[in-house]
Amino acid sequence: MSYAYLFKYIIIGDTGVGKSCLLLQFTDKRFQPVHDLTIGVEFGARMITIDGKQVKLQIWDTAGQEAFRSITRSYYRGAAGALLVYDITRRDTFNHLTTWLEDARQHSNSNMVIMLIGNKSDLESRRDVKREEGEAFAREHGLIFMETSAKTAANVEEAFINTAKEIYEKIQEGVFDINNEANGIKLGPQHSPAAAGGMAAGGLGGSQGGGCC
Amino acid sequence: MGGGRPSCCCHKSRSAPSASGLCVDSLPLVYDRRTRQLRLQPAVPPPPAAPPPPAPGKPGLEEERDSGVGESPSSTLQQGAAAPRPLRPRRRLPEQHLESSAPTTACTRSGRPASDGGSSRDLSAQGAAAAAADKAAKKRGISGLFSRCTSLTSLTSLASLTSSTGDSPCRAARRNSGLQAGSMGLILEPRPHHLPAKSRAEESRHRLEHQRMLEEARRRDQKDSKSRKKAIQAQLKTEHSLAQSTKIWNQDILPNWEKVRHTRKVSDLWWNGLPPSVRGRVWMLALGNDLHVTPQLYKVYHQEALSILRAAAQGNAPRSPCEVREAKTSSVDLIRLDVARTFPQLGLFQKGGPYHDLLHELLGTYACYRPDVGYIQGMSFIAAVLLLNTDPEDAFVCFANLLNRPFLFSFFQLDQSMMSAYYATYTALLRENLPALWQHMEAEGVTPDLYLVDWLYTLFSKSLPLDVACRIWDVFLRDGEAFLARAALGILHLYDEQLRSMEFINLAQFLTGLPDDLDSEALFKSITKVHTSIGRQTFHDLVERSRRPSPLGSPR
Repeated sequence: MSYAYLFKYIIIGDTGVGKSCLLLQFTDKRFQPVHDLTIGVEFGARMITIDGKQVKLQIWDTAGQEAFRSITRSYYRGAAGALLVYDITRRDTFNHLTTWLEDARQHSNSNMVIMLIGNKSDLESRRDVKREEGEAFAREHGLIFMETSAKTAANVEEAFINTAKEIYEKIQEGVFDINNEANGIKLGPQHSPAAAGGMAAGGLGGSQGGGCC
Repeated sequence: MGGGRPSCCCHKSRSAPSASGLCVDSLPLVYDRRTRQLRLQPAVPPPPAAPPPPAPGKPGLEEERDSGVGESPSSTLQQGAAAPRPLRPRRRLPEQHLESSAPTTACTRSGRPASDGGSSRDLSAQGAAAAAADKAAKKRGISGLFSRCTSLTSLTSLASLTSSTGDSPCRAARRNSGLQAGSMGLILEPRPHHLPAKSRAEESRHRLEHQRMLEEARRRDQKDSKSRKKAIQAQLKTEHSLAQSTKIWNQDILPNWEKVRHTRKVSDLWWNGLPPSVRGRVWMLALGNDLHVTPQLYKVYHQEALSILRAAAQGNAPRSPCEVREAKTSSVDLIRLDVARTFPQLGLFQKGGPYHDLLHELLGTYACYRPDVGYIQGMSFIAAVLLLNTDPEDAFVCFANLLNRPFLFSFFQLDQSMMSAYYATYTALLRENLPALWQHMEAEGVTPDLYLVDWLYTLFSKSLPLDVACRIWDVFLRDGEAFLARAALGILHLYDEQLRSMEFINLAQFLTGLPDDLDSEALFKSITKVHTSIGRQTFHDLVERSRRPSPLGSPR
């Protein structure tokens, strides 16, 4: 399917916070109460529309165990957006955000849009991290913030789409150099160079090569 | 099919006996002006006894009786049927026929009278459910895991084979003739009153249609039973060879293990897959116990793990300043999360499942035994496969020794330089074996680590159907770690053409979520077509060379 832009996303955060469930809810619109453990990285893709343009999201869903960080670090490269997820019912997953953020900032390009997500908002009775705390953390570190529930699908669409909107705005402002695939953005095969702000986009084809070679 | 359908209902609705003795002329027929139909004149007045209470919502039946139509003529026609039926069930049957697409087939299969449509449908539904369950089990590759279950299945299938084939010729003939004769009689039955009378031509046409339907059903039935028989025979053959090889392993190989383990014959048998009943023992022997994990040692660490687990379950996990202790308890938290996420589709390791505690304890015991390694994701799958094939203590011995193998050890230590050396060797071998695919994957940016992490950290048990994964383990324990690379290349070889037409995201998704129906034989055929040496350099030479890059660069 043709698209105007392709954005690479990466989902990060502690193990068991619901990263794979968020992805499954976003791509397949379903929830699996007992999800397989992610080892290494898994992938998802979905087309969305922003400002009347087709945008393909290519999502890398990473393993959350701390020991694997040395492996997952290489996956940051070339990501345009990151969803940093914690579990609102487990404070330790919130406490680890700083190290995740350091990792992300260190191994990705500086323009990467980061969305902070407090997942499992359906489990209000077991809440361990206040909404305000999430908001404060996001404000302090310049992130977008949302509380989601992969189970009820609350805010899941919005989390993925708002991140894309932010990336799109940055492209419009000229912050992202869309010719540099290391930014995690690719122009679609039919996208004319004129529409891309006068920058050449030849020879990119429909395939994705960014971020991992 | 205005006229066709009701007549079919009539055919099916009555299980009357042979109509050969009946003649239309001899029947006491009268013309009913109200229904404009010929109907049988009552020979005796309607029975005075109260009829069975009508089913709710079927007032039409009462009306019929009131209109003066007696039951006896139809009862006469039903003579010879198992039992004279009241009107009600007969009314119900046509609906059943309409619901079920092939009731005749179902009835013939189960050997029940045609009128017993409801229960035979239940039976066939059960069969379908069993088949679906069987298919699902096969899909996940667990059908061949438990040898005892397999032999039970074989007994059942053997029994069904004899029952379905042993008496089939005469029985089927009887059933079919019974059906045809019964329906001949049905055509002579009065039609439901609200339907217009049939013309002679229509009647004969319907009779022909009915015969054709019966014929079709019989053919379908024959075809079904043939394919069923074939499948059962194939299964029996597999089980026979499994029984044979089990015998060889038990009687000839295992008692003389050290003497024969490297012989050609044993090697070949091994390649074909270990019988599930000896698999655990052969794995143990092949792995050995270089670490000298004794039962006493196991008990010590097991006890320690149990106390930590218990404390954690009560919510007062000891948080001592000791780093080792800390590592153990944090491992325990992680293990708790992951045990439930291990083979969730099997439902064996989840809370309340038979293997939940065992897996939890095994991983906990290992974290106590090797706090420097602790628990790393992927381990739960390896431990689970071992638990499914050996008892808990042996599983621990196997687990500890398996993780001590140089390749797995460096992976679970997350030794980046070793891992890079393996990836580089694997890439060189991919280029050597499947140059076109290598080129395509390079162009798409699919590096081996994207899918090999998932494959190797679980020794393929998460990515392949479980029975296929066990076969890979069999040969891995025979040939060593080079076989893991060979198996990975074999998977790529199996899907080579498909993969070469995919772009990045499809490739990545395909390789991290391999098809559930991956066939073991096809994969092993592909594996025979790839090799893990380049020129005179073996896999280990290549890894060593990758670890110490010479001025000439990495192996090609």
